[in-house]
Amino acid sequence: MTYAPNGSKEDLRKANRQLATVIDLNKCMGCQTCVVACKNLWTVSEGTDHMRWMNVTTYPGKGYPRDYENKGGGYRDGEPQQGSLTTMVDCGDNFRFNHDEVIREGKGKSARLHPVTSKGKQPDWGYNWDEDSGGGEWPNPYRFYIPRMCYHCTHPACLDACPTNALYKREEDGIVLLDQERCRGYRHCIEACPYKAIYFNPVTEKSEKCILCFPRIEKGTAPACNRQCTGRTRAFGYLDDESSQVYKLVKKWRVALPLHPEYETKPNVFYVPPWSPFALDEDGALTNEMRLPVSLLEELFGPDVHRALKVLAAERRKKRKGGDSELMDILISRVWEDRFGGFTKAPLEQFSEEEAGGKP
Amino acid sequence: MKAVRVSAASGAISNPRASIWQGALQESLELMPTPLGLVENISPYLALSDDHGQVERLQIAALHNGETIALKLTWPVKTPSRTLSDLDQFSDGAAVIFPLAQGASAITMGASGKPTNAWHWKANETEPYDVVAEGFSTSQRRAAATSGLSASAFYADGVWRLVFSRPLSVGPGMINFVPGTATGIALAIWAGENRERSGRKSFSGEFTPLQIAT
Repeated sequence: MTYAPNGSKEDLRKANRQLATVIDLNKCMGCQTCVVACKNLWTVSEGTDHMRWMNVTTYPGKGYPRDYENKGGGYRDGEPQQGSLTTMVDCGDNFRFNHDEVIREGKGKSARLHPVTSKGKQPDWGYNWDEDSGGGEWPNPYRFYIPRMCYHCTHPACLDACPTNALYKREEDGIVLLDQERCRGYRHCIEACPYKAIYFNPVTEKSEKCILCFPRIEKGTAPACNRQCTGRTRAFGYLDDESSQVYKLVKKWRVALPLHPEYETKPNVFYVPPWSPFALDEDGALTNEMRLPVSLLEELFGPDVHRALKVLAAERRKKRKGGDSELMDILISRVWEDRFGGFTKAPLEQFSEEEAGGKP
Repeated sequence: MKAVRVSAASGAISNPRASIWQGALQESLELMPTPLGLVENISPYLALSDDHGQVERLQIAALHNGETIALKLTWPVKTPSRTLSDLDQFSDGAAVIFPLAQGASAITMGASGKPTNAWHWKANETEPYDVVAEGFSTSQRRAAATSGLSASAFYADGVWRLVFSRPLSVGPGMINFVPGTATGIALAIWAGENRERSGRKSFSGEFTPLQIAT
């Protein structure tokens, strides 16, 4: 049904189709282009400085918002779990720099460029403060990048939590939206979201979240984070479109997995788990163990990660020996248009159409 | 509870510091945490709340001068919360609610066909607002100017003192007070320090009568 705020939670979460994103963690190099693409489009107004609807951090690390994995929410055995709120610092704050002092006031040789927090203090944490943190010990350190956003869950905890029914899934594509007219800024949604992908705007006193660039989608263009990815790490499309790469990676090859499936919200962003070099032993000789402990990947992506890694290894071997592999060809991504399930129209084409009054 | 008739100007009874309030008849009401089990279908997460209802008692006094009615609420708060200094902060708040139809319940904020009208004040906002609701999750806010509602509050010595005032009669869709009759009234207090907002609050229970003196 179309959004009816007086409907039941079941009505509000109903969706006939579901848009989904797949991110290949083997190819993400942490360039933050997706983060900037999103920020420039959606979170530049007053009160949104601290918001990164799209964010990329290293793993292991504190993540973003800081320690989101320890802030509760989601479900366990179908029961809602109490959660806590994020603070300005957790969300990366909005550092201000003494540009004037260093650049315009002639103190370039004496003053050091440094940030202060939005409260005028010396910062002690920020977005990507612990950039390139990692785990493991020499000679086997490991880390990888993990891009995160709203997962447009099939069973969104935020939607369940909102007492004013401001949150709903779009019937036609499953995008989770937050109606700014109905939002009262209570923030029960933030407590409930186990991924902490909703942000409070202290100026409007309402909460805001990723809208999966729905105005672009309605014109045939993939979301900015997906489209702008320089590493071709991403696939996008309808989960039930058997010709789409998201279908092939999630449903057919089953190598793309949800993050923290134990939160039970059924997220619709899926990750191809990262491969890592083989570990070295004390003498510097190669072992058969991966540097990145599979147990760690299991904590993130659930027990299905074992199967996914085996499939990836087998297909990789096949390709290396000169054989054909549909899976490897998808992940290599020679033709970028193939990645986006038909959402390949250029955003600038839309712009010129609008300029021309909608005429082709 | 009784709204006593006085001859003071509307400006005086709207002011919580005015001397007319010193002799006003005060009633003490016991508050309790709202029973949030009731909202499980509306927000199972809100229904998990078990540490709300920090403010346990408030004093209320009511005056009117034939044109304006004023309600003075006084309640203790150890740490007042007047601003949203961080994303996890909430402000103090207070509300009074009236039935607009016979049989409307204060606990559910009315029901379909049985509306209620509430006046809501928040410490971090300059203006109060009216709320019209027909049950949980149906509340609609209206700007104070619609009914001429105003609120004036100050915090001193560990106590909030708040006066809501409004013309007795404002036309359909809102509560109208007629001298010589009674309406129902119930109250709610939110302690910002305890992350109280929405249904997380203290309340006085079901409607009790408010007599409007002739």
